[in-house]
Amino acid sequence: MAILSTERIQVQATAKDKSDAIRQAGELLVKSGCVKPAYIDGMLAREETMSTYLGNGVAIPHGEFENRDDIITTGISVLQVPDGVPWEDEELAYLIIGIAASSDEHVGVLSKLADVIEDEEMTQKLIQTIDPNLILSALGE
Amino acid sequence: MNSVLAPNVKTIILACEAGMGSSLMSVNALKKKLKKADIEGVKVVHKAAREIPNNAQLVLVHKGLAKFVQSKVPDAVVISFSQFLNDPAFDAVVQAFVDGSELVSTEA
Repeated sequence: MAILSTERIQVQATAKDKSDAIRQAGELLVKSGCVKPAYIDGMLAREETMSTYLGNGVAIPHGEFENRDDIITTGISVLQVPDGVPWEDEELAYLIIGIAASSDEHVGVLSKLADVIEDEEMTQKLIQTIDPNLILSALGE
Repeated sequence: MNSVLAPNVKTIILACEAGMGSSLMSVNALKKKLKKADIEGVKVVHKAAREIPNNAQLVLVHKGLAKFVQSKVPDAVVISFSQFLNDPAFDAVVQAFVDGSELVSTEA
């Protein structure tokens, strides 16, 4: 199974707060069979202890070490919130990247994500696009 | 206080809690910086904090986990940072490799 696929990419979403956004990103992982529902609680708990905000409007919520048993298969989801959702301090997150990894198969996708974050123009495109395939081609393998 | 000469470091470990997201991003960031500085021959890997091997030489970790990591690997040099992607601590580590200078634990 591909690490990232369009069934795990939701564009033009709205989220009322950070927890709502994490739940939605987690739900994409649950619906596509990557994780058990309990994994979402782990994502929320992890965010409580340490923010996963990376900068440039991107956050990468994921579970805690203990939640590894809730992972069925490695997968990454993308929740795009064009209006942004307050993440930490004054920062808004626009791309919420849900991660469930039981191995290192997702290293390539995260490496591409790192490149995208450095590219302001590309990041803006991905924040605004209505086409999930654009996100898939930028981050997928 | 633990210290190690940068040229003697074979592997740099980036640690985070789960070892599946944040530390991976830091690995990417640090690898790029090392490449830019033409530093070769040092491996950069990521680990969950509790899976760091006992013989670790140099561990970079978010400040929230630094104490835990230093107590887990008391002999390692543990350097803490606060941003996963572009932290001044990464630049300082790269500079130590460029200069061949000493790296010192920020904990203990």
